[in-house]
This record gives sequence, structure tokens and C-alpha cells, in this order.
Amino acid sequence: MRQLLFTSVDSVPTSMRFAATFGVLLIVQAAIWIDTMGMSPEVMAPMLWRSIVREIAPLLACLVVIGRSGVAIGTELATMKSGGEIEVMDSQGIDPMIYLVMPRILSFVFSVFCLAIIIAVTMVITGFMVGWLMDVINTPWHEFFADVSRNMNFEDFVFFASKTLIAGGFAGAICCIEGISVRGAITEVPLVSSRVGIRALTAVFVVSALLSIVFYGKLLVFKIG
Amino acid sequence: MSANEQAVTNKRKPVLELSDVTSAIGEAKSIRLSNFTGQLFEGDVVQVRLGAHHDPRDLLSLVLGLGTPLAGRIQFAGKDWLGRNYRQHYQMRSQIGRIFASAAWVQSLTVGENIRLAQLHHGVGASIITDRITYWTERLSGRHLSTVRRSFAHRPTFVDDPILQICQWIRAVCNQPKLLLFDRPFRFITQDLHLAFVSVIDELANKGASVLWFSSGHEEFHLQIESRLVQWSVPGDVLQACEVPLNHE
Repeated sequence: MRQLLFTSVDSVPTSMRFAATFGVLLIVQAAIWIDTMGMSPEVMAPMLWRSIVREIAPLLACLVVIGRSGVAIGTELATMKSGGEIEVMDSQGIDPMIYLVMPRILSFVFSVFCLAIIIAVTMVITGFMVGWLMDVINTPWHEFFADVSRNMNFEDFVFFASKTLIAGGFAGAICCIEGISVRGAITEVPLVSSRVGIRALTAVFVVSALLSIVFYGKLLVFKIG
Repeated sequence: MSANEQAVTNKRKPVLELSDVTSAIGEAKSIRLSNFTGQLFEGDVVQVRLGAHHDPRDLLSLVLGLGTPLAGRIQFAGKDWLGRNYRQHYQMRSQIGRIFASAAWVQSLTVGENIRLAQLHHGVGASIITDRITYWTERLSGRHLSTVRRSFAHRPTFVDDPILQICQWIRAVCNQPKLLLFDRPFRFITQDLHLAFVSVIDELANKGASVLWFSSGHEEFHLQIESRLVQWSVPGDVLQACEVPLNHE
């Protein structure tokens, strides 16, 4: 519960701030290009929604959780290992994988999933609000959100769930394993802190890209198979 | 060993057996094992006299199966630490109480949570844990009783060393251990509590537990232990066993 609170609930304001900024950038840009290219909003709406739900929201949620909690988790576990605390647990027959690692990975996965939902919703709402205030979006709000909800389908959910759960799981596992694999002195802890973030981010990008390739059956514009 | 002594030993089961164990070369201060063979039987108290430069932490972790020896076999209650049956290994460790000379606590938990943690993890009921902690706290705290009780609500960093050492004892004996591993257990313990602590060692030994006790400081060598007390030595930083008890015919 403590892990969930730290990884998930405490990250909500940060996620909303990031999502609001991204939402403004994305939807305002899209609205400008709709006007420039003479496209109708009906064509752009599903494209925008899908890019948010399938790609941007899961990725942004992973970035927030890694940056805010992943590095902290890696550092905490590395400090515990080098300070002999994990040996203390082991000595008492407490499995660190069950007591320390699994709750952190699960809270990581759960947090990425929930925060990605919050991010997707925030992006759409703030994007619409700013676009409407700047007069680049002329559709009434109920039509805009009706368009969005019309464009949601089961495939979106499969993309969203797999990208958040799998990438989140990988990122969480990497943060924990990096932390717990420290050998030796406390001076190794800062090294772990810097390594954890980079490795987890790399994993998230790679996993996300691989999942996209698998789902679409395409590598960029080239069809596979 | 006399014939009588041999007969008594044969009746008792070995709790800890080290057979031809050679440890990896660790830090210079650590104690090494070189083809070491030794046994701790039920009721045995084995005291190892340490030099000032010795740190038996690695060795005790090796005994607990947290490290792998270069050669030889370590068995606790007839089972070794080899293989991948980690569940069994953790279960075995839950029957061992350990007192550390340094880094003994999970710093993010309170002292009380630390004491409860292992028992909760091994499925002991909350009320049983509370009863056990209450019993041992009252028995081991002496005049520090109220301070020890108060310390349960604080994190280890904010508790004085003598109180923490009493809490370590409570944690070590709470789970009715078969084996006690002591690393300088009387450090910070005031003299007025020595008798109470010795009586606990004797009581647990009478119930069949055995004790591997790394000690330094003359006070620990002169405690009146009634259980079968054997001394092992560390000449040249290499552990050597001795079978002859000091206080039994």
C-alpha cells in the first residue's frame, strides 16, 4: 500500500501537469494543421485519439513513474543492499523478492496503467480547452468528446493495456534488479541511481517499439511478413 | 572425549554441521574456514573468542546459506543449503535467531515492525506475536522496560544502542529458534542484565536450541553458562573446532 501510494497517488499531479502540456502542444498543432491542409476534424480526431491512447499516454506514464519512483526505488534498494539490510531480512528467512521486489514491480505496473488513463484524459481535456480558448477548435465540447468516444474500440484497449502493463513491468523489474544487484560499498549507490533511469527508459522505448511492430505488423512503413 | 560424554553426544541430534568447509577468501578482517569440520548439537553453546580485528559477519551469513563455500557442506537440522528449494531455505532460516554486531535493522521500519516482520512473514498470528514480544520484553529489559517499549514506535536510527541491543535479543529469541547465531551479543548490554540474558541462553539450550556465539571482551568469557559450553578458536584467522566442553565432566 505504501508503495502504491508513493508510486501512483503521489504521481498524479506530476502526470497531469505533463499531460496538460503535451495535450496543448498536440491538439493545438493538430488543429492548426487541420486548417492548413483543409482536412476535416472528423478525419483528425481518430488519429489524435489513437496516437494518445496507443503511444503517447503509455510512454508518458512510464516516463513519469521511472523519473519519479523508479530511480527512487533503485536507490532505496541499492542503499538497503549495501547497508546490509537485505542480509538482515535474508537471515530471518524473509524473501526479499516477495517482500521488496514484487510489491514494487506490481505497484509500478498498476501505477503506469492508472496514470496512463489519467494522462490520456487530461491531454484530451486540456487540449480541447486551450484549442477552444485560442479559437483553433471550433467544434462544441460535446461533439468533440462524442467524436472521441465514437472512435474508441477494443483494439485501442488491447494496445493501451499491453503497452502500459508490459512496459511498466519491464521498467519496474529493471529498477528493482539494478538496485538489488549492488555489490560492495555505499559509494556504488549513486552509480546505480544514474544507471537505473537510463536502463529503464531504454527498456520502455524498446518494448514499446517492439509491441507496435508486433501489433501493426509493420516496421515504419514496411510491412512485415 | 570421555565415554560418558560420547554417549550423551550420540543421543543428541546435531543442529548445525559443517563438513570440510573451506570459505572463499573475503576481506582481511574476516575469519576463514579451511577444511573446517565441526558440529553443534542440541543444547550446545559454542563460544568463539574473537580478536579485535575479526568480523564474523560473512562467516555467519555462510552458515545461514547466504553465501556458498568453496568446498564442503553446511547442514542445518539435517538439511543443507544447496539446490533451488528457496522456500525451504527461507523456512529453515526462520528457525534461526541472529544477533548482529552491526547493521541489524531495516531502517525504513520501526523497531517494533522490525521485530514483528519475520514472524508475520512466516504466518505467525498477530496475537501470538504480541504475546511473545510482551513476554520477552518483560524478561529481557530489566529496568529499561519502559524505554524498550517506547522504542518499538521509533525507527532504529533514533534509538540508543543499549536499547537496540535488547531489542535484537527479543527479535532473535521471539521465534523459538533451534539455532542462535550471536555476534558479540553482550555489546552495550549493562552488567545488571547479564544474568537474565545468560538464563535465557541456558533455557533455550535446555529446550534443544544450540548457540554459536562469537564473543570478544573478557566479560563474555566469564559469564556463568550452565549449558554444555565448548570453545572454538581462531588462530591465524582460521576457525578451529574443539570438542571438549569447558564446564561439563
